[in-house]
Amino acid sequence: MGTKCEKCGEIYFPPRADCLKCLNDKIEWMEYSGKGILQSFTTIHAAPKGFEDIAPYTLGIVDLKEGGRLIAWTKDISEEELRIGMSVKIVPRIFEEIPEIKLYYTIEKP
Amino acid sequence: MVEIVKVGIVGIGHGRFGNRNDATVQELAFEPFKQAIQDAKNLRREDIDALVVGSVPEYHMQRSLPGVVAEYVGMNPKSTWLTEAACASGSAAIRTAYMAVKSGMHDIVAVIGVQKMRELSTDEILALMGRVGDVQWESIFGTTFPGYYAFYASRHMHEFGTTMEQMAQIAVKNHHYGAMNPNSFFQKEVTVERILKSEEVAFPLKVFDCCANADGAACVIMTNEKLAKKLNDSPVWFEGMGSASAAMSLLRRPNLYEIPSAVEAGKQAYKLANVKPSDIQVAEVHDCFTIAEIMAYENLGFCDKGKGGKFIEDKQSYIGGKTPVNVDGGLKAKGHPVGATGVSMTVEIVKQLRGIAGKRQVPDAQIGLTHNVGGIGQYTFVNILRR
Repeated sequence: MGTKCEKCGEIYFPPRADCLKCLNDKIEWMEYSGKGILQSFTTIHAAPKGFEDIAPYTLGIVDLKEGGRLIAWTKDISEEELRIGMSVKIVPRIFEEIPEIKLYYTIEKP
Repeated sequence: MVEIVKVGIVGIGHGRFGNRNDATVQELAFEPFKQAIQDAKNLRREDIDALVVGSVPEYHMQRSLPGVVAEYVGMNPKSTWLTEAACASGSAAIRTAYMAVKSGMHDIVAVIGVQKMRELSTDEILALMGRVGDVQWESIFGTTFPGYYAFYASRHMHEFGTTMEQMAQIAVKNHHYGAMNPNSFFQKEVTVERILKSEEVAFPLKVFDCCANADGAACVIMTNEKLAKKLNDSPVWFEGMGSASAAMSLLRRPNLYEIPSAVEAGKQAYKLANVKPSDIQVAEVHDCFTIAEIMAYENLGFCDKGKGGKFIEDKQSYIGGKTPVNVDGGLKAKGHPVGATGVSMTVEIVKQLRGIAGKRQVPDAQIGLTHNVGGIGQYTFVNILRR
C-alpha cells in the first residue's frame, strides 16, 4: 500500500502523511500491484546487531510500477541470478516472531 | 558599502588516528588544539573567543561534548557549541566558524573535530550507522552503512562498467600515501590481489574497500584577514564554501550512482572561488568506501560522469596525475573518526598549500579542495582553499 494525495494526486511509497509537492495533509491509501524493476542489490555479510543469525542476506532496491521505491530481502532469487533491470514481484509478508515489526516485504520472481 | 571579510586558517593541529585506548575524548581533543595554538604566531589561548566542536554524539558515553572539551582545553568562559552532520560534522563545524568570523561576531575561532568510536563494538556500530537510512522502511531489513555504499557500487558497476579491480586501486593508492603519514591508523601498502581476496562485507564491497572506525581529533584556528596576517606568515584562505543536502533515504534519490548533495555543494564552491575543477591542484575527498572516491571524482568534475574508474586506473589521482587526491591516505588509511575527518582533510590541504607536506607534497600547490560527505550523502560540504 502506498499513499496518494487527495489534492494533487501525487503517489508515494514509502507512504507519507503529508504531500511533499503541494503540502496537503489529506491523503488516501492506494493499493500497489507489487510489480517493479530491480535497481540495485547487495549481500550483507557483516551484519548489524540483531541480524547476525540470518547473515548473509541479500537486499534489493526496487522501483515500483506505480511510483516510489523500496528496500527488501530477496527470497527465491540467488545472488548469481540477480540482474539490475530485471522485473520482480514484491510480496508483503507478516512477521510472526516479531510482533512490533509485523509487516515486511520480499523481492521474488514475477 | 559592506566590507568583504576574508576568512583564513592560522593554526593547524592533527592527532594520531587509530585505536586510542590511551586517551579520553577530551584528551584526544587537547593534542591538536595545543599544536594549533603553537602553530600560529604569537597566539595566546585567551585570544580565541569561541570553540566549535564537530562530533557525532551517539558514539560517546560522555554527553554534551563541547562542555567537557571546552573545560579540558581551558576555553571557559568562552562561547562553545556542537555541530552535527554525521560524517561531515567536522566540516559543518568549520562552516559555522566561518560564519562567525565572516559576520564579525567572533574574531578568532578554534574548531576541533573529535571522535572516539572504539568504545563501541563493530556490530553495535553497524547497527547504529545502518540507521542512517529510514529507520521505518529500511533498517528493519538489516541495512548497514557499507550496505548502502554497496548499493551505489552495484549500480555504478551496472551503469558504467566500473570494476572491483578499479575500486581496489583506490585502496592501493590511499594506503600507498597513508604509509607516508605518521598520523594514519594504517601505515602499510596493500596490493590489488590482497584486497580482492579479503573478506566480504557487503557485496561487492570487501574489507579493504571500507575505511575503519577510529579514534582521533584535528584542529584548525580561523580568523579574519586583519588578524590572520599577524598570526601567521602564510595564512590559507577559504575561497569557496559549498554546502548541500539530499534525501535521507536512498528511496527518494533521483539515481543510485551519484551523490546529488556533492554535485550541488561542488558547484557552489567552484562558483564562489571562481575556479574550475581542472584548477584544483590537490583534493581531499570522502573515501569512506572505495566506490565513494570514484563517485567523488565524477561528482566534483575531476572527470566525466562514469569515468571515475578509468581515472584511478590511469593514476590521474596520484601525485603527478591530473588531480592528486587523498595524498595523506584518505579515510581509507587514516581511519575515520567521523567528527574529526572534515577537520583532518582541511589540515592536510593547509599543509599542502603551505608546502610542508614532506614526502607526499604536491609540487607548488596553490589551490586545494575538501569534500566531506555526511551519512550516505544527506550532507556534503565542499570547500576550496588558496594560499
